[in-house]
Amino acid sequence: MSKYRIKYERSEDAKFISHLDLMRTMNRALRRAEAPLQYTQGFNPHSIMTVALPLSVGITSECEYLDITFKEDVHCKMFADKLNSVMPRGVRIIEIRNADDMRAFKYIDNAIYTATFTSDVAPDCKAFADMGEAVMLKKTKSGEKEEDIMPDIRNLNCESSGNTHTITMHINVGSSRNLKPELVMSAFEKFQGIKTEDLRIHRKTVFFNDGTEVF
Amino acid sequence: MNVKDKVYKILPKVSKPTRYIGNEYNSVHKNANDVDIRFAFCFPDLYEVGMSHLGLKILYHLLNSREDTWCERVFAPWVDMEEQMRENNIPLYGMESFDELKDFDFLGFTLQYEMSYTNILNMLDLAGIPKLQKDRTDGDPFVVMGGPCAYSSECLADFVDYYMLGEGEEVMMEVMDAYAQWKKSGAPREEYLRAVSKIEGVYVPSFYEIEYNEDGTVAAINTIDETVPKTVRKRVVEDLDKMFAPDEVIVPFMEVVHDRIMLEVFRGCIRGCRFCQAGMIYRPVREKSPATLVENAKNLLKSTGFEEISLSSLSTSDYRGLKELTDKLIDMTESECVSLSLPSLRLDSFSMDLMQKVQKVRKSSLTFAPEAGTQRMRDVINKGITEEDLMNASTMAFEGGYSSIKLYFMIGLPYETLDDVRGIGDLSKKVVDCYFKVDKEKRGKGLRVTTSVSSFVPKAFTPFQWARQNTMDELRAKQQALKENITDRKIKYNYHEAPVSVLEGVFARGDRRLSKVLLKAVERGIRLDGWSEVFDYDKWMGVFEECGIDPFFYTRERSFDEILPWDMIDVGVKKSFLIEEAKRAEQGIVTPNCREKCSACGAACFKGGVCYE
Repeated sequence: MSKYRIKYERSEDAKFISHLDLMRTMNRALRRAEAPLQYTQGFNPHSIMTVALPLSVGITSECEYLDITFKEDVHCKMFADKLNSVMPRGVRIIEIRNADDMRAFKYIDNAIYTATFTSDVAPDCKAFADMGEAVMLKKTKSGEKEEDIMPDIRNLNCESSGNTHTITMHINVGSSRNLKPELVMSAFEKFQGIKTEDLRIHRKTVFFNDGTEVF
Repeated sequence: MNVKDKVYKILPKVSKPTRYIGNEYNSVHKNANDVDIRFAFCFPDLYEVGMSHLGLKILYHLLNSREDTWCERVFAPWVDMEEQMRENNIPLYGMESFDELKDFDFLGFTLQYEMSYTNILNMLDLAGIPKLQKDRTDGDPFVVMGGPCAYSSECLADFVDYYMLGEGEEVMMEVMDAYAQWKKSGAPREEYLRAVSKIEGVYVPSFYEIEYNEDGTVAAINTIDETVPKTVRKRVVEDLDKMFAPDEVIVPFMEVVHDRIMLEVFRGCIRGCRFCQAGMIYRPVREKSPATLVENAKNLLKSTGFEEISLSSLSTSDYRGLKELTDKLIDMTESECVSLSLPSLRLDSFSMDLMQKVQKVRKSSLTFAPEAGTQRMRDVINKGITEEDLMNASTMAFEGGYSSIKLYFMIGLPYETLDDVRGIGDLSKKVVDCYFKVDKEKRGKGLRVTTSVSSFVPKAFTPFQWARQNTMDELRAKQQALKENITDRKIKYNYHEAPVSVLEGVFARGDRRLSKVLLKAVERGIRLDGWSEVFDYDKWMGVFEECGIDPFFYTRERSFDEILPWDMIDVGVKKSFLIEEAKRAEQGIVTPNCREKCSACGAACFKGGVCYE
């Protein structure tokens, strides 16, 4: 029995698939690729799959990860090719590695996103950071509450070309602290009056708490 | 901005956006420039309903097997999506190419149930295509229809270019061939309709004129000239083993109603229940061999990755190859970690054994459909099931450890009395008693009997096509009488809302004059009538009033000699047989099933299946 970590991307064509639907989609793709899936014992056998950091609907990503348990070893490169040949449009396998000795997803801690949009008003990242705090209404499991999101923003960078702007944000994500990139964009709207048109949010990189990239 | 960009912009604002994006595995993408025919398979309901429909899967891949054709899918948008589309001027589009429907050669609608008719007109409206057939001109797509309701959907006759009656596997290819030829010839639009009207199974309503009597009944059905056939006979595929069956089907992203591989084991039904339209219009029974099905299942598992297979037919217990098929499927599913789900089977030792083998999960509920509460009523409807059968089956189920049973019934059947209705409660109670007679050790814990009652709607091409449909007041009185008769707290009583059934009955036996009601309804914003949160009976009644049409003209009793609006259609089963059956119903005489004894219904004209076994 071996655990494998699959890195894949979700492009525009796959960005509206919900997390649960994507899990089912990956599972069926693995079956089409005749993966040596290890199933759980018991009444309702299912494969053993963990997805890192569920992606919100509408966001694209070049660094999605899932762990899957196989009952026998596979050749990573060959299996990645096979899997790619049975993937729906919009989802592409980037790389597969053996994950037996890899850090678990629970150690994921921060990530970089980009948000690209058009707006007549240009965002000002420095001014944003200089505010010191940015209190936003945050939705949590127990309801809504006001919270300062600034401590979870590690870095912000704004670039503009005409009225097209890109904000690159490095923020805390994961099981301990979790900030959603959408909320950062709402903060720009709240504090700088930026009404985004054609907003595209994209996940660039995911890091563990020791600062290393997942891979 | 192209349609796709516009759609992607509004999708974050709607629920379940995967309904509208396509791109699922096994969806077919071609280059529009490489094909001559672009066909939009339109399912007039939501994605998750349409994607569960076997006919769509078959015809989609069949059409795409043609090099000259690209078939795409279109579904009705939900309320929020429609609102966004209208607000942003987004036309209805083909899900694969995101090209607007105006660019297509065909819009093909499947008619599965009457309450989807308004969706068809609303979809044409969203597509910006003239709804009335007579208003469509050169460059407009042809609007074609098929499916079980096509045999008697005269209320759509003003909107459709032609219907394909019966099974589509063969006729679809013939009308496409004719189209390719016509397109090359550059002849006027009507020439294509002329050409297909000569193909068996194709009904072109604009070639028929209806005359009415003063009392509103049909006086005559005339063809516009001699070249048009007086009657159109449906098509059936003679040998299902040789028929096209796709070896790949689309794998949806979202969970659809039937999210699994469906194996169609046979078509038709030997039973001849008198209320059942499917049982008549799909005759004769034709089976697929277990070998064909196993091969198909193997290929489908490989090409889709689905984790579940189910068997589909009108009455799977009547499949003669059931043992052989399930044995082989069980072998296969165990090695591939696939689950086999069984439809509701007639309960006997074989099916109990089968369920034991298949059901690794907790024992869920079993379903029986006695349909009526008293033996007299079951004889009237020719449901060959006795109280003893039901008691034996229930006992067997409880002894096998099941503790939950669902019972399906109908009210509003012809010749039904309040005693028959109360009989539903009595029979449910007897099932409860059955449970307590079974040894405590053997039976499961927590008895639950669910009694679900729907309202009968008389349908065309059945022995009850002349029957009067119960009024809403009658149905409600019966629902109430039954409610009072069910006192046992172990019985959960469900019933369907009467208003939808009444409206379904109007369109199920309607004529062409209803087309203006449909038009007006859609103009008034009526659609998605199959969804209780949208359905609005009062609004409908307002539309009937506005049009000066009495809906209850269509739910009245009719005499055997009245010309029926669908008399130009021939489903194989003869009218004389249906009349004979209607008379036997009145006397409560049962008719044997096709395998016990042939009753010469007429379906033998198709030269195959059970008629020649």
